[in-house]
Amino acid sequence: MSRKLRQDLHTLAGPYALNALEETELRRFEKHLTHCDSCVQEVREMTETAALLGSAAARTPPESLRPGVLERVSRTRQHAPAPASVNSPRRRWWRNGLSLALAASVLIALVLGGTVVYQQQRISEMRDNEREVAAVLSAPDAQTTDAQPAEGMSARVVSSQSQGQLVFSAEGLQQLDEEDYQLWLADTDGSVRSAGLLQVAPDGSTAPMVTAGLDQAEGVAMTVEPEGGSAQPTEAPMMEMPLDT
Amino acid sequence: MNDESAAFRAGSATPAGSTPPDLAQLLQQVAQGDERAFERVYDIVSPTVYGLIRQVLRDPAQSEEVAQEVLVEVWRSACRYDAERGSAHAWVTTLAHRRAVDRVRSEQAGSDREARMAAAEISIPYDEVEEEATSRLEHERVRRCLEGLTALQSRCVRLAYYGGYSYREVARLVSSPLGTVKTRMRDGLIRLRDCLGVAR
Repeated sequence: MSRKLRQDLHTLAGPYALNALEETELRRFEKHLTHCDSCVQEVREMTETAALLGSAAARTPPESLRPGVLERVSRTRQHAPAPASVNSPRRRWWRNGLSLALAASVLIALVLGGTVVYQQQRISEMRDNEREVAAVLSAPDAQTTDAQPAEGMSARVVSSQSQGQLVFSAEGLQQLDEEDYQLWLADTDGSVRSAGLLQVAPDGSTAPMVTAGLDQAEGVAMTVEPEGGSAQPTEAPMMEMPLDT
Repeated sequence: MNDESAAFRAGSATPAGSTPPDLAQLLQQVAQGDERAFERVYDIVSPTVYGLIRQVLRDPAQSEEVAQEVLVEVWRSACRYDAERGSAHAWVTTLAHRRAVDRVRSEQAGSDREARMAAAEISIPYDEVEEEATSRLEHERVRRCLEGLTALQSRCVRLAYYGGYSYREVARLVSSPLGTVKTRMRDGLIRLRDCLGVAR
Protein backbone atom coordinates (compact mmCIF):
# COMPACT_ATOMS: atom_id res chain seq x y z
CA MET A 1 0.00 0.00 0.00
CA SER A 2 1.39 3.39 -0.88
CA ARG A 3 2.29 5.82 1.82
CA LYS A 4 -0.27 8.28 0.59
CA LEU A 5 -3.08 5.76 0.70
CA ARG A 6 -2.12 4.73 4.19
CA GLN A 7 -2.15 8.32 5.40
CA ASP A 8 -5.49 8.72 3.80
CA LEU A 9 -6.82 5.74 5.75
CA HIS A 10 -5.37 7.14 8.93
CA THR A 11 -7.56 10.19 8.80
CA LEU A 12 -10.67 8.02 8.70
CA ALA A 13 -10.38 7.53 12.47
CA GLY A 14 -12.48 10.66 13.00
CA PRO A 15 -15.37 9.71 10.73
CA TYR A 16 -15.14 6.16 12.06
CA ALA A 17 -15.60 7.22 15.68
CA LEU A 18 -18.52 9.42 14.64
CA ASN A 19 -20.09 6.50 12.78
CA ALA A 20 -19.84 8.51 9.59
CA LEU A 21 -18.26 5.95 7.28
CA GLU A 22 -20.22 4.25 4.56
CA GLU A 23 -20.04 0.50 4.14
CA THR A 24 -17.05 0.17 1.78
CA GLU A 25 -14.86 2.54 3.67
CA LEU A 26 -15.88 1.03 6.94
CA ARG A 27 -14.52 -2.33 5.73
CA ARG A 28 -11.34 -0.74 4.41
CA PHE A 29 -10.71 1.08 7.62
CA GLU A 30 -11.37 -1.98 9.75
CA LYS A 31 -8.88 -3.87 7.70
CA HIS A 32 -6.39 -1.08 8.20
CA LEU A 33 -7.00 -1.29 11.95
CA THR A 34 -5.70 -4.85 11.92
CA HIS A 35 -2.20 -3.55 11.29
CA CYS A 36 -2.23 -0.07 12.74
CA ASP A 37 -1.79 -0.05 16.49
CA SER A 38 -1.71 3.70 16.78
CA CYS A 39 -5.05 3.91 14.93
CA VAL A 40 -6.61 1.50 17.40
CA GLN A 41 -5.59 3.70 20.30
CA GLU A 42 -6.78 6.80 18.52
CA VAL A 43 -10.11 5.20 17.70
CA ARG A 44 -10.61 4.28 21.35
CA GLU A 45 -10.00 7.80 22.56
CA MET A 46 -12.23 9.26 19.90
CA THR A 47 -14.99 6.80 20.69
CA GLU A 48 -14.86 7.87 24.33
CA THR A 49 -14.98 11.48 23.21
CA ALA A 50 -17.93 10.91 20.92
CA ALA A 51 -19.74 9.17 23.77
CA LEU A 52 -19.47 12.37 25.79
CA LEU A 53 -21.20 14.19 22.96
CA GLY A 54 -23.88 11.56 23.40
CA SER A 55 -24.35 12.26 27.09
CA ALA A 56 -24.76 15.92 26.35
CA ALA A 57 -27.92 15.04 24.45
CA ALA A 58 -29.42 13.25 27.48
CA ARG A 59 -33.10 13.75 27.87
CA THR A 60 -35.79 12.29 30.06
CA PRO A 61 -37.32 9.31 28.28
CA PRO A 62 -41.08 8.91 28.03
CA GLU A 63 -42.61 7.08 30.97
CA SER A 64 -43.69 4.17 28.81
CA LEU A 65 -40.09 3.27 27.95
CA ARG A 66 -39.14 1.73 31.28
CA PRO A 67 -41.99 -0.77 31.61
CA GLY A 68 -41.65 -1.60 27.92
CA VAL A 69 -37.96 -2.40 28.22
CA LEU A 70 -38.30 -4.31 31.49
CA GLU A 71 -41.14 -6.38 30.11
CA ARG A 72 -39.07 -7.38 27.07
CA VAL A 73 -36.01 -8.04 29.20
CA SER A 74 -37.97 -10.45 31.36
CA ARG A 75 -38.60 -12.65 28.33
CA THR A 76 -35.35 -12.11 26.42
CA ARG A 77 -32.54 -14.61 26.63
CA GLN A 78 -29.05 -13.26 27.01
CA HIS A 79 -26.14 -14.04 24.76
CA ALA A 80 -23.77 -16.68 26.00
CA PRO A 81 -20.37 -15.17 26.78
CA ALA A 82 -18.37 -17.54 24.59
CA PRO A 83 -19.01 -20.73 22.69
CA ALA A 84 -19.01 -23.52 25.25
CA SER A 85 -16.32 -26.10 25.07
CA VAL A 86 -17.30 -29.42 23.59
CA ASN A 87 -15.59 -32.13 25.52
CA SER A 88 -15.00 -35.25 23.58
CA PRO A 89 -11.79 -37.16 23.75
CA ARG A 90 -10.13 -36.58 20.42
CA ARG A 91 -6.48 -36.56 19.80
CA ARG A 92 -4.90 -33.67 18.01
CA TRP A 93 -7.23 -33.83 15.09
CA TRP A 94 -6.04 -30.56 13.75
CA ARG A 95 -2.43 -31.54 13.74
CA ASN A 96 -2.53 -35.14 12.70
CA GLY A 97 -5.65 -35.16 10.63
CA LEU A 98 -6.96 -38.16 12.51
CA SER A 99 -10.27 -39.58 11.50
CA LEU A 100 -13.22 -37.97 13.10
CA ALA A 101 -15.90 -39.49 15.17
CA LEU A 102 -19.25 -39.13 13.47
CA ALA A 103 -21.46 -39.26 16.49
CA ALA A 104 -22.44 -35.85 17.67
CA SER A 105 -24.17 -35.72 20.97
CA VAL A 106 -27.30 -33.72 21.53
CA LEU A 107 -25.16 -31.39 23.56
CA ILE A 108 -22.91 -30.68 20.63
CA ALA A 109 -25.86 -30.01 18.39
CA LEU A 110 -27.29 -27.59 20.91
CA VAL A 111 -24.05 -25.74 21.34
CA LEU A 112 -23.48 -25.46 17.64
CA GLY A 113 -27.08 -24.53 17.00
CA GLY A 114 -26.50 -21.56 19.26
CA THR A 115 -23.34 -20.65 17.45
CA VAL A 116 -24.97 -20.68 14.05
CA VAL A 117 -27.86 -18.55 15.20
CA TYR A 118 -25.34 -16.21 16.71
CA GLN A 119 -23.57 -15.97 13.36
CA GLN A 120 -26.70 -14.89 11.63
CA GLN A 121 -27.60 -12.08 13.88
CA ARG A 122 -28.29 -8.66 12.63
CA ILE A 123 -25.81 -6.64 10.72
CA SER A 124 -25.74 -3.85 13.21
CA GLU A 125 -24.53 -6.34 15.76
CA MET A 126 -21.72 -7.31 13.45
CA ARG A 127 -20.51 -3.79 13.72
CA ASP A 128 -20.10 -4.24 17.46
CA ASN A 129 -17.46 -6.73 16.41
CA GLU A 130 -15.16 -3.86 15.53
CA ARG A 131 -14.55 -2.86 19.09
CA GLU A 132 -13.73 -6.42 20.04
CA VAL A 133 -11.28 -6.71 17.17
CA ALA A 134 -9.61 -3.47 18.14
CA ALA A 135 -9.26 -4.62 21.75
CA VAL A 136 -7.40 -7.80 20.82
CA LEU A 137 -5.16 -6.07 18.32
CA SER A 138 -4.20 -3.36 20.74
CA ALA A 139 -3.55 -5.66 23.71
CA PRO A 140 0.04 -5.33 24.95
CA ASP A 141 0.60 -9.08 24.65
CA ALA A 142 -0.90 -9.47 21.17
CA GLN A 143 0.98 -12.06 19.10
CA THR A 144 0.73 -12.44 15.37
CA THR A 145 1.00 -15.71 13.47
CA ASP A 146 0.83 -15.82 9.68
CA ALA A 147 0.32 -18.75 7.37
CA GLN A 148 0.16 -19.35 3.63
CA PRO A 149 -1.94 -22.49 3.52
CA ALA A 150 -2.10 -22.46 -0.28
CA GLU A 151 -0.87 -20.53 -3.28
CA GLY A 152 -2.38 -17.04 -3.22
CA MET A 153 -3.97 -17.53 0.16
CA SER A 154 -2.89 -16.02 3.43
CA ALA A 155 -4.20 -16.19 6.94
CA ARG A 156 -3.35 -14.26 10.05
CA VAL A 157 -4.10 -14.92 13.68
CA VAL A 158 -3.56 -12.26 16.31
CA SER A 159 -3.99 -13.65 19.79
CA SER A 160 -3.94 -12.07 23.20
CA GLN A 161 -3.83 -14.22 26.31
CA SER A 162 -4.76 -11.27 28.47
CA GLN A 163 -7.92 -10.75 26.42
CA GLY A 164 -8.46 -14.50 26.14
CA GLN A 165 -9.36 -13.94 22.51
CA LEU A 166 -7.94 -14.18 19.05
CA VAL A 167 -8.72 -12.43 15.80
CA PHE A 168 -8.65 -14.43 12.60
CA SER A 169 -8.55 -12.96 9.11
CA ALA A 170 -7.69 -14.40 5.72
CA GLU A 171 -7.34 -13.36 2.12
CA GLY A 172 -7.44 -15.20 -1.17
CA LEU A 173 -10.31 -17.52 -0.30
CA GLN A 174 -12.53 -18.78 -3.07
CA GLN A 175 -16.20 -18.11 -2.59
CA LEU A 176 -18.08 -21.35 -2.06
CA ASP A 177 -21.49 -22.51 -3.21
CA GLU A 178 -23.46 -24.50 -0.69
CA GLU A 179 -20.42 -24.83 1.53
CA ASP A 180 -18.87 -22.69 4.20
CA TYR A 181 -15.41 -22.15 5.60
CA GLN A 182 -15.49 -23.01 9.26
CA LEU A 183 -12.93 -22.06 11.84
CA TRP A 184 -12.04 -24.38 14.73
CA LEU A 185 -10.13 -24.14 17.95
CA ALA A 186 -8.15 -27.20 18.94
CA ASP A 187 -7.86 -27.47 22.70
CA THR A 188 -5.00 -28.84 24.71
CA ASP A 189 -7.22 -31.69 25.91
CA GLY A 190 -7.62 -32.86 22.33
CA SER A 191 -11.15 -31.60 21.81
CA VAL A 192 -12.18 -29.34 18.96
CA ARG A 193 -14.55 -26.40 19.18
CA SER A 194 -16.21 -24.48 16.42
CA ALA A 195 -15.13 -20.87 16.28
CA GLY A 196 -17.76 -19.99 13.73
CA LEU A 197 -18.21 -19.63 10.00
CA LEU A 198 -16.16 -17.23 7.94
CA GLN A 199 -17.94 -14.68 5.80
CA VAL A 200 -16.03 -14.34 2.54
CA ALA A 201 -16.30 -11.07 0.61
CA PRO A 202 -16.31 -11.10 -3.22
CA ASP A 203 -12.61 -10.14 -3.17
CA GLY A 204 -11.81 -13.34 -1.25
CA SER A 205 -11.08 -11.67 2.06
CA THR A 206 -12.80 -12.26 5.36
CA ALA A 207 -13.84 -9.68 7.89
CA PRO A 208 -11.72 -10.02 11.05
CA MET A 209 -13.40 -12.56 13.32
CA VAL A 210 -13.06 -12.60 17.08
CA THR A 211 -13.05 -15.87 18.95
CA ALA A 212 -13.09 -16.24 22.70
CA GLY A 213 -11.85 -19.04 24.93
CA LEU A 214 -8.26 -18.76 23.81
CA ASP A 215 -6.86 -19.99 27.12
CA GLN A 216 -7.48 -23.67 26.38
CA ALA A 217 -6.56 -23.55 22.71
CA GLU A 218 -3.32 -24.77 21.20
CA GLY A 219 -4.18 -24.34 17.56
CA VAL A 220 -6.53 -22.89 14.99
CA ALA A 221 -7.74 -24.79 11.95
CA MET A 222 -10.04 -24.21 9.02
CA THR A 223 -12.14 -26.69 7.07
CA VAL A 224 -14.73 -26.58 4.32
CA GLU A 225 -18.07 -27.77 5.69
CA PRO A 226 -21.56 -28.14 4.30
CA GLU A 227 -23.46 -24.87 4.25
CA GLY A 228 -24.28 -23.71 7.76
CA GLY A 229 -21.33 -25.52 9.29
CA SER A 230 -20.87 -28.76 11.19
CA ALA A 231 -20.84 -29.65 14.87
CA GLN A 232 -17.42 -31.18 14.50
CA PRO A 233 -15.08 -31.09 11.53
CA THR A 234 -16.00 -33.55 8.79
CA GLU A 235 -12.73 -33.41 6.89
CA ALA A 236 -9.04 -32.79 7.37
CA PRO A 237 -8.20 -29.12 7.76
CA MET A 238 -7.12 -27.09 4.75
CA MET A 239 -5.22 -24.86 7.12
CA GLU A 240 -3.80 -25.32 10.58
CA MET A 241 -1.86 -22.92 12.72
CA PRO A 242 -0.33 -23.76 16.08
CA LEU A 243 -0.67 -21.06 18.73
CA ASP A 244 2.16 -20.09 20.98
CA THR A 245 0.85 -20.66 24.44
CA MET B 1 -6.56 2.52 29.66
CA ASN B 2 -9.45 4.43 31.01
CA ASP B 3 -9.38 7.10 33.52
CA GLU B 4 -11.95 5.93 36.01
CA SER B 5 -13.08 9.40 36.80
CA ALA B 6 -13.76 10.13 33.15
CA ALA B 7 -15.89 7.03 32.96
CA PHE B 8 -17.73 8.12 36.05
CA ARG B 9 -18.32 11.60 34.86
CA ALA B 10 -19.61 10.28 31.64
CA GLY B 11 -21.63 7.39 32.94
CA SER B 12 -23.33 8.86 35.88
CA ALA B 13 -26.59 10.61 36.02
CA THR B 14 -26.83 10.32 39.74
CA PRO B 15 -28.07 13.01 42.05
CA ALA B 16 -25.19 14.79 43.66
CA GLY B 17 -24.37 13.54 47.12
CA SER B 18 -24.94 9.83 46.65
CA THR B 19 -22.21 7.45 45.57
CA PRO B 20 -22.44 6.97 41.83
CA PRO B 21 -23.02 3.34 40.98
CA ASP B 22 -20.28 1.83 38.87
CA LEU B 23 -21.87 1.10 35.56
CA ALA B 24 -19.20 -1.40 34.60
CA GLN B 25 -19.83 -3.47 37.73
CA LEU B 26 -23.55 -3.32 37.20
CA LEU B 27 -23.09 -4.61 33.66
CA GLN B 28 -21.15 -7.56 35.03
CA GLN B 29 -24.10 -8.38 37.27
CA VAL B 30 -26.46 -7.97 34.33
CA ALA B 31 -24.29 -10.42 32.39
CA GLN B 32 -25.12 -12.96 35.11
CA GLY B 33 -28.81 -12.47 34.44
CA ASP B 34 -29.48 -10.06 37.31
CA GLU B 35 -32.63 -8.15 36.39
CA ARG B 36 -32.41 -5.88 39.41
CA ALA B 37 -28.97 -4.76 38.31
CA PHE B 38 -30.42 -4.14 34.87
CA GLU B 39 -33.02 -1.81 36.34
CA ARG B 40 -30.23 0.25 37.83
CA VAL B 41 -28.38 0.23 34.52
CA TYR B 42 -31.58 1.37 32.86
CA ASP B 43 -31.90 4.29 35.26
CA ILE B 44 -28.33 5.38 34.62
CA VAL B 45 -28.16 5.06 30.85
CA SER B 46 -31.70 5.58 29.57
CA PRO B 47 -31.56 9.42 29.46
CA THR B 48 -28.42 9.30 27.29
CA VAL B 49 -29.69 6.45 25.14
CA TYR B 50 -33.07 8.01 24.56
CA GLY B 51 -31.78 11.58 24.24
CA LEU B 52 -29.10 10.70 21.72
CA ILE B 53 -31.42 8.58 19.60
CA ARG B 54 -34.04 11.29 19.72
CA GLN B 55 -31.47 13.84 18.66
CA VAL B 56 -30.59 11.78 15.59
CA LEU B 57 -34.04 10.47 14.67
CA ARG B 58 -36.15 13.34 15.93
CA ASP B 59 -39.40 11.45 15.73
CA PRO B 60 -40.47 10.68 19.33
CA ALA B 61 -42.29 7.42 18.61
CA GLN B 62 -39.52 6.03 16.48
CA SER B 63 -36.93 7.15 19.01
CA GLU B 64 -38.72 5.32 21.77
CA GLU B 65 -38.85 2.18 19.66
CA VAL B 66 -35.14 2.28 18.83
CA ALA B 67 -34.23 3.16 22.42
CA GLN B 68 -36.17 0.12 23.55
CA GLU B 69 -34.24 -2.08 21.12
CA VAL B 70 -30.93 -0.69 22.28
CA LEU B 71 -31.70 -1.11 25.97
CA VAL B 72 -32.84 -4.69 25.44
CA GLU B 73 -29.60 -5.22 23.50
CA VAL B 74 -27.66 -3.96 26.52
CA TRP B 75 -29.36 -6.70 28.52
CA ARG B 76 -28.63 -9.37 25.93
CA SER B 77 -25.03 -8.42 25.25
CA ALA B 78 -23.88 -7.31 28.69
CA CYS B 79 -21.44 -10.22 28.74
CA ARG B 80 -19.63 -8.74 25.77
CA TYR B 81 -18.72 -5.58 27.57
CA ASP B 82 -15.12 -5.66 28.67
CA ALA B 83 -13.87 -2.91 30.96
CA GLU B 84 -10.37 -3.24 29.52
CA ARG B 85 -11.57 -1.87 26.24
CA GLY B 86 -13.26 1.31 27.19
CA SER B 87 -15.78 2.78 29.56
CA ALA B 88 -19.17 1.18 30.03
CA HIS B 89 -20.74 4.47 29.18
CA ALA B 90 -18.98 4.58 25.80
CA TRP B 91 -20.01 1.00 25.11
CA VAL B 92 -23.70 1.74 25.66
CA THR B 93 -23.60 5.10 23.91
CA THR B 94 -21.86 3.67 20.84
CA LEU B 95 -24.50 0.96 20.65
CA ALA B 96 -27.25 3.58 20.77
CA HIS B 97 -25.60 5.84 18.22
CA ARG B 98 -25.02 3.03 15.73
CA ARG B 99 -28.61 1.91 15.91
CA ALA B 100 -29.87 5.44 15.47
CA VAL B 101 -27.59 6.04 12.51
CA ASP B 102 -28.47 2.71 10.91
CA ARG B 103 -32.12 3.63 11.20
CA VAL B 104 -31.80 7.14 9.85
CA ARG B 105 -29.67 6.01 6.89
CA SER B 106 -32.00 3.18 6.01
CA GLU B 107 -34.87 5.60 5.77
CA GLN B 108 -33.06 7.82 3.36
CA ALA B 109 -35.98 10.18 3.09
CA GLY B 110 -35.03 13.28 1.18
CA SER B 111 -37.78 15.26 2.76
CA ASP B 112 -36.56 15.06 6.29
CA ARG B 113 -33.00 15.68 5.21
CA GLU B 114 -33.31 19.40 5.69
CA ALA B 115 -35.00 18.94 9.00
CA ARG B 116 -32.16 16.71 10.14
CA MET B 117 -29.67 19.26 9.04
CA ALA B 118 -31.45 21.95 10.97
CA ALA B 119 -31.49 19.70 14.01
CA ALA B 120 -27.76 19.21 13.90
CA GLU B 121 -27.11 22.86 13.35
CA ILE B 122 -28.96 24.15 16.32
CA SER B 123 -27.21 24.07 19.61
CA ILE B 124 -27.50 20.76 21.34
CA PRO B 125 -30.71 20.61 23.24
CA TYR B 126 -30.93 21.02 26.85
CA ASP B 127 -34.31 19.97 27.81
CA GLU B 128 -35.81 19.28 31.12
CA VAL B 129 -33.14 16.79 32.21
CA GLU B 130 -34.53 17.40 35.61
CA GLU B 131 -32.82 17.15 38.90
CA GLU B 132 -29.59 15.64 37.67
CA ALA B 133 -26.85 18.05 38.51
CA THR B 134 -24.07 15.88 37.12
CA SER B 135 -25.76 15.60 33.79
CA ARG B 136 -26.26 19.34 33.58
CA LEU B 137 -22.60 19.96 34.30
CA GLU B 138 -21.68 17.42 31.68
CA HIS B 139 -23.83 19.15 29.15
CA GLU B 140 -22.33 22.49 29.99
CA ARG B 141 -18.80 21.13 29.66
CA VAL B 142 -19.44 19.59 26.25
CA ARG B 143 -21.09 22.76 25.02
CA ARG B 144 -18.11 24.81 26.11
CA CYS B 145 -15.69 22.45 24.42
CA LEU B 146 -17.70 22.45 21.20
CA GLU B 147 -17.47 26.22 21.23
CA GLY B 148 -13.70 25.88 21.30
CA LEU B 149 -13.70 24.25 17.87
CA THR B 150 -13.39 26.12 14.62
CA ALA B 151 -16.70 26.72 12.88
CA LEU B 152 -16.01 24.03 10.28
CA GLN B 153 -14.78 21.47 12.82
CA SER B 154 -17.87 22.03 14.87
CA ARG B 155 -20.27 21.74 11.94
CA CYS B 156 -18.58 18.57 10.69
CA VAL B 157 -18.66 16.89 14.08
CA ARG B 158 -22.25 17.90 14.83
CA LEU B 159 -23.66 16.99 11.45
CA ALA B 160 -22.06 13.56 11.65
CA TYR B 161 -22.78 12.80 15.28
CA TYR B 162 -26.06 14.54 15.99
CA GLY B 163 -27.35 14.57 12.43
CA GLY B 164 -26.34 11.00 11.59
CA TYR B 165 -24.85 12.02 8.25
CA SER B 166 -22.02 10.11 6.64
CA TYR B 167 -18.93 12.19 6.05
CA ARG B 168 -19.66 12.22 2.32
CA GLU B 169 -23.03 13.76 3.01
CA VAL B 170 -21.42 16.20 5.40
CA ALA B 171 -18.98 17.25 2.68
CA ARG B 172 -21.90 18.09 0.39
CA LEU B 173 -23.75 19.92 3.13
CA VAL B 174 -20.84 22.13 4.07
CA SER B 175 -19.57 22.38 0.47
CA SER B 176 -16.07 21.28 1.34
CA PRO B 177 -13.82 18.62 -0.19
CA LEU B 178 -13.99 15.13 1.31
CA GLY B 179 -10.40 15.28 2.48
CA THR B 180 -11.03 18.47 4.39
CA VAL B 181 -14.11 17.08 6.08
CA LYS B 182 -12.34 13.89 7.16
CA THR B 183 -9.51 15.89 8.61
CA ARG B 184 -11.79 18.37 10.36
CA MET B 185 -13.68 15.51 11.99
CA ARG B 186 -10.45 14.01 13.21
CA ASP B 187 -8.80 17.16 14.48
CA GLY B 188 -12.12 18.37 15.88
CA LEU B 189 -12.40 15.18 17.92
CA ILE B 190 -8.80 15.48 19.04
CA ARG B 191 -9.44 18.97 20.28
CA LEU B 192 -12.62 17.85 22.03
CA ARG B 193 -10.77 14.92 23.55
CA ASP B 194 -8.18 17.24 25.06
CA CYS B 195 -10.76 19.74 26.20
CA LEU B 196 -12.93 17.08 27.82
CA GLY B 197 -9.94 15.40 29.42
CA VAL B 198 -10.53 11.96 27.95
CA ALA B 199 -7.79 9.65 29.24
CA ARG B 200 -5.05 8.89 26.77
